[in-house]
Amino acid sequence: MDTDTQLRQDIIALIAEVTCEDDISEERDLDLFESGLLDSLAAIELLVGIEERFGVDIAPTAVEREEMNTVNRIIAQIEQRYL
Amino acid sequence: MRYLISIRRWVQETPQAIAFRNTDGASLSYGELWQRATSLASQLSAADAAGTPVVVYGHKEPLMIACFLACSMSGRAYIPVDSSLPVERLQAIVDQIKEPLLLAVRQPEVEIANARSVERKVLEQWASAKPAPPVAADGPYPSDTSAWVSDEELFYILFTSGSSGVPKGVEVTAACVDNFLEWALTLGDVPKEGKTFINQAPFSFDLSVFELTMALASGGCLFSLCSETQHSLPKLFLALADSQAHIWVSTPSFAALCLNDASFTQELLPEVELFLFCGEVLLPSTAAGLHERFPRARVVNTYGPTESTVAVTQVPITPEHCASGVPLPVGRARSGTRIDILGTQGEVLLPGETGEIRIVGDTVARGYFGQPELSAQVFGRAETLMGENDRPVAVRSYRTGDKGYLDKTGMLYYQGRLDFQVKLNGYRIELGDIEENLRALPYVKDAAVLPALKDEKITHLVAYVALSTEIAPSSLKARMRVKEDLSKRLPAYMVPKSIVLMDNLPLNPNGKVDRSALRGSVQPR
Repeated sequence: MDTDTQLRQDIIALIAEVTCEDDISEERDLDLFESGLLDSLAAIELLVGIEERFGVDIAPTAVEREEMNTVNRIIAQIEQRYL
Repeated sequence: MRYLISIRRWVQETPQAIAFRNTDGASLSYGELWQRATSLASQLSAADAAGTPVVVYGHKEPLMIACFLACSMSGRAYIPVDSSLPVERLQAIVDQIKEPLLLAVRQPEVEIANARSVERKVLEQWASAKPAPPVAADGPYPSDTSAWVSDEELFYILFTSGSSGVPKGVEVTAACVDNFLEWALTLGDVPKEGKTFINQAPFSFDLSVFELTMALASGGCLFSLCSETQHSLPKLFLALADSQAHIWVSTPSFAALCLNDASFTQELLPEVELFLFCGEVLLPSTAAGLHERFPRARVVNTYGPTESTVAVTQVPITPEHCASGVPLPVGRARSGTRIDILGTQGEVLLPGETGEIRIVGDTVARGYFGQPELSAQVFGRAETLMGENDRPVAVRSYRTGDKGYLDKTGMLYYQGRLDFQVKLNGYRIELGDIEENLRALPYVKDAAVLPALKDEKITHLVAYVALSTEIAPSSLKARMRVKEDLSKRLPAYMVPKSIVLMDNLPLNPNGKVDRSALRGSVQPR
């Protein structure tokens, strides 16, 4: 099994906190909105957490739901901006 | 009914003015609205005995507004049901009424039993069946207001969460709405005529009655945010920029969500002059954020249960309130309403003492539809002083189950619930309602639902569930399955975000689920 980078582990930990779902890393392509794990408010909470922990600022109006609706897509969005 | 007379006035004076517009691009002028509602009303009269409540199912289509109005014009109460609710919930509502007409502006996913459904295509034919009737005051239809709902007749029935797992219908009369509206139009000391009102809440949530009735009674435009728009912040902000809105009505959570984006400022909504909040606790941080970003707008907090027609207290929130370090007040009673604080023996308490909030006044609903016993537990009659001479008048009263106190000046402070009801994002939820629906799942042995708190504010719900059989290969999949099955029975806002699976729920010595042990046993986030 591939080991995750520290960044990925930290991102997954954040998503687990926001979704109240500790085992979230088991299902990385699960649609978090459809499955009821994220709603609009929790999504904002996630963006605020991303800025606080990783210094990556994503304005809530800058991303559509479909761009950040799974663990893998959230990781991709952050890695894209993370320097 | 004064509300309907007000609308008719705008139909006569400004028939071309836009009465309703939504973010899907649909709109309706006052003239069109009146024509459709009148046509629909005569079809309703032909289809059904007068006085029978009518279920109106859909989202934020112009036809919804026309159907509501048609019900009122033909002497029927309407029951608004938003299409975001699961069909099981719709069925549970229909089952409480005797084979009602179901005006399906949207088609329910499955066929609804025990209802006489009228599909959208037919509704549209009904709406255009007659040529536009004359709207002059001396024309045939407008002078004939005899069929209109009035006084103690029911204007709408709004179904809300019931502790037994079945929704209960609050019966709001025409007089309640007229009395409420007269007060609502004074809020914020802002003239309301011809203004644009933001509509966030679905029509099955009585917060929406605020902007719907204010907009139509004052010749303004109701600007409805469709759910698809609300689900995408980029789309939402484009819609807001396009709204030209003057008056914002929403839950505090919705405004707090918008404040997270730096572009939520007076530049985005240059005309906005009033933020009106109801439905849940308004946090000082939200009000302070609005003061800062919208220097030209006022922020007004209100309070009231569905059982007393939307809201009964109001207070303009100042920067001083926000900085005071204490929870924001919810306001002073409107003229026509008296607030009592009751002790455990039902005695009226003094200012400063905390107890149950009782509302006495001319906007208290008639009761719960078809449930005289349940109604008798919380509704009653009392006298209050009203009018210019402060004459004692007999009115209805309602014990809210809310906890609070009045200060010496009559300002009300809300302090949460006395029972197992919670408010989440403005929605009123009976925890027992969720528990009953969880227990109804074939593989659930027992269940308890608790709110998770952060800084005394409810952030989400946690369900503790004991399963009778294995339902999935992993814990995550099992929890997802529980949520998925529950969401077929309950509105999305009632599905607990966090599910904790247990072998058995802990019991207290009385054999009841031990809620405090649950709170301590597993630490959900």
